[in-house]
Amino acid sequence: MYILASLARGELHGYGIARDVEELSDGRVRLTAGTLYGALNRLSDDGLVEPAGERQVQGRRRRYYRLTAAGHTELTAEVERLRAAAAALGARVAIRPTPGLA
Amino acid sequence: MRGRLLELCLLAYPRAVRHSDREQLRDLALDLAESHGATREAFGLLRGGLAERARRWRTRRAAVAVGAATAVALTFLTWSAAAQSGSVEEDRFTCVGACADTEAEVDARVRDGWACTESRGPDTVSWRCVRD
Repeated sequence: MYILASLARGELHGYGIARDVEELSDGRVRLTAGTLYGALNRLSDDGLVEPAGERQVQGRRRRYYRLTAAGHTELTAEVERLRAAAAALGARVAIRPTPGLA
Repeated sequence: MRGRLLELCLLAYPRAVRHSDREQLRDLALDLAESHGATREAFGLLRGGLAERARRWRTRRAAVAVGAATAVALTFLTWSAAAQSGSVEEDRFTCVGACADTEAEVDARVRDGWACTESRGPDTVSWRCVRD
């Protein structure tokens, strides 16, 4: 989900994705190269992201990825689901508990 | 030192992955090791490599299962077709007294390629018609 969100703005390489995910999650999600590689492979197999070529940046070989149309649809649906869940839970939290109601 | 450690951990990945993505994985791990630490990246590579091996093993096992199921289905279909081709259709007719309708039916079968044998009793006439 964070990976899809980080690619929503455009093409990114693995390191860029890892940094963006860390920023998006307020430092809670810190992907290692192994985790990110596996996740990108799974997302590619599912047709949600696709490789966008390799470039040499600062002497290091970077593979870029981009979101596919299916990936964008999936991300939008997931955000909508989270928004609905947050609204439902928020409404419940806003209710003042009635004393004595078990 | 850091690079050597990460290179060693890359051995956890299947040979095909190392062949195609070794450089990319190593560079990414080196970049992330600068902020996360090499130990964390090393464990990440080990875990990721073993997970990739497991994923490929599951995929290969699923392919073998599908192949085996297809082979069983094909064997059954072949056997079924062979058994079908050797089967014989059989119809029996019997009449008592006036047999014109039954005889006409038997004649029609014979014209269709059936082999019919007739047997006469004291009051009845029977035919056994078969076709391969």
